[in-house]
Amino acid sequence: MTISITTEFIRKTLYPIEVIDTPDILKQYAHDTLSCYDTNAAAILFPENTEQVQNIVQFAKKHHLKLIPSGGRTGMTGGATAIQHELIISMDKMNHILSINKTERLITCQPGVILQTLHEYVELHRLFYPITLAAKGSCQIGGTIATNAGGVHVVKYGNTRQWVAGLKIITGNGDYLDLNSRGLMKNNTGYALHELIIGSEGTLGIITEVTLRLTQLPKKPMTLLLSHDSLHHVMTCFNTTKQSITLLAFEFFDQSSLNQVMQHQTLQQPFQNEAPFYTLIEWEATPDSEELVFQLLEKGLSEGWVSDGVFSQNETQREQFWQYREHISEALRQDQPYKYDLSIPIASIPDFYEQVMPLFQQDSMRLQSAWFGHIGDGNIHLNVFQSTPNMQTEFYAKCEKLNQTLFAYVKKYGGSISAEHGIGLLKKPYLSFSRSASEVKLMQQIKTIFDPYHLLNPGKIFDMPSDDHHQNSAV
Amino acid sequence: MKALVTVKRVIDYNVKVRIKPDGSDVDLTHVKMAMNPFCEIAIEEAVRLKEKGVISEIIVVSIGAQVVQEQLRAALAMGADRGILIQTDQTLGSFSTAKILKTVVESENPNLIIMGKQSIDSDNNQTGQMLAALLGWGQGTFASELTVHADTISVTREVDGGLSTVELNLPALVTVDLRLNTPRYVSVPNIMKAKRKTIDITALETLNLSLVENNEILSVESPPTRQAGIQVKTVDELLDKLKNEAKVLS
Repeated sequence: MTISITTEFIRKTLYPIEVIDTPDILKQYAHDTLSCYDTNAAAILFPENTEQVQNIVQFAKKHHLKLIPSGGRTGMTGGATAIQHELIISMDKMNHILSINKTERLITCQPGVILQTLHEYVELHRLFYPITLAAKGSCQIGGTIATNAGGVHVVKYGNTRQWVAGLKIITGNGDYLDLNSRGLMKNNTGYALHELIIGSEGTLGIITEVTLRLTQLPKKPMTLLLSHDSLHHVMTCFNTTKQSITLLAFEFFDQSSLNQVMQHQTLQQPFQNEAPFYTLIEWEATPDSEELVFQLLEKGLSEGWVSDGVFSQNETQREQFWQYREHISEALRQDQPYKYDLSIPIASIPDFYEQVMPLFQQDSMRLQSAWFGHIGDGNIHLNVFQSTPNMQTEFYAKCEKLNQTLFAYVKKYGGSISAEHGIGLLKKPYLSFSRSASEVKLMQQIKTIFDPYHLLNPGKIFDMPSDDHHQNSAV
Repeated sequence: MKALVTVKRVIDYNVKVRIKPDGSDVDLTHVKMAMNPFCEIAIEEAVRLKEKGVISEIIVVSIGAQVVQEQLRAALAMGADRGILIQTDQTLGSFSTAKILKTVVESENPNLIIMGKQSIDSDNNQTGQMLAALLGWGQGTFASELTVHADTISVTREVDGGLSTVELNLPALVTVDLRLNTPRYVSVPNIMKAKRKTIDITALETLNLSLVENNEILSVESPPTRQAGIQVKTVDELLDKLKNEAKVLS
């Protein structure tokens, strides 16, 4: 049985929430950075507060409609993509910072605040929110929590999970929950339910208010860009530097990634000679850290685990160094790459690389790859692309064929098929490489408790066994 | 040919400038400092001329506190041969700076002086011109291109109306503009080599100069903060605001 619910009806019932169904805007809001799905969002709703979100969920429950909570849509796995005629709940208007508590170092805001806006706001108060990623200028706080975003400083500060003090949410049943939103440091009173929401990709509840922990501003960072002739040497460099200094970031990329960036950006070549691998190392400056690092580098150069290096002299150069790393994803975009976001135990990364590289090079594949990522926390962003981008369908089929072998290696080395991007739609078929059947079953049961009618972000992470396909659609 | 290049330690170009609560000056505590970007371009140009075999020695000079050695070391790592620090904790104006540099020039006898056109902190754009005048040398300011010949140097200058090229007899003084070059990154091996290069430190008092400052900072204020924008609901409302509030339409 299908009942059509018109936009006009939604608009009237949920007044004053803004509802948009103009085709081009619908298209824009119906997917994240991944554009390989045929999307079909029914309408976009722009609530302004928790109560309005609750009204939307109650409405969806009554009329058997499905919902997608939607942030800055900078995700990489189709986690915010509409392919089941869902209503999209955009957090664009819930973008207010509500309060900052300098004594307890807490900030409370709505989920639609842009990450960079939050950074700038807290820095005005001489405080620091350490989660940062390439999409900081467009991703929203709510999205970073729903995906437990990592980014470039995980090696020092951990993931988003470490910084969420509390949440207010509306569950799929339409219930309002206050989950330690006062941000108590100590609150051992049973299950930490807000922890379940972090990384749940919008499948359990809709985040409507966020309380985050803040910390002191880091000391002045110092930044190095090094070149290395093998991944083993990158590892030696990581192990050696990590023992002596407080790393803020330890990133890597290969020559293929650098070539892509240089084609798209007007940046100077960082080194006279090319090298297979580069690392970007950032640490907190202490009075003796520079001296210490240069002693290490002298050793590295003489022992061969560093080939060459440049040292940032000012903030402008520091930003340029970061551009080599942060523009890789954007530079690759036009080649429509197949993206992997793998977690590999750090010590196994060189072996993993040696096993996997030949897979792309074999005659039946002839694929190019770009390896980069946060090697300091074991996170590799592997992008695969064709030298002449055509026949996209055939290319994706090739990659999917590779997945079985590649993910088997990930499993063999004790890694994870998704480090920080999440599962979304893209990685759903491969969840079993990282999670056991019993784990998935338990997650499905948890979802049913929070979202008994399976309204929220359907088909993401895993499918629900009991989902009937006779839900209504709004048109 | 011997070149003398000057560098100044300034607040990093990309750092947000804060003012001391009492409004007496810019707050420099815990602020990232760096080489003045125009001085960096001056060093880069000297190093390129040395790589072309035009210059045989680059001497880099700075005036300031002990910590200024950081910027001298950076210049040495970029390719300068040795450094000179005239050490003082005084705040110096352009004329005093030019007078001090004149004594350095007299003892080093360079054929060419390359300086940044101005420092990004005081933004005066005076020291190069004053030094050239004190020395009685020709000056080519705001250089976007340099060509050194046997006894002369031709300097393409960025002026308001376009470009102007002057030919100067050597010795001469050049101040450089932004488009002259892009400074190289400082390589780790070169930083290590630079640690072994010498920096001669001379206390300012021992130069026996009479320096009188003509400027005094009375107070420093932030520019007024801009008000946040508003969203209007209709075109009519926009027109109304443009006419009656902004008064840009009549």
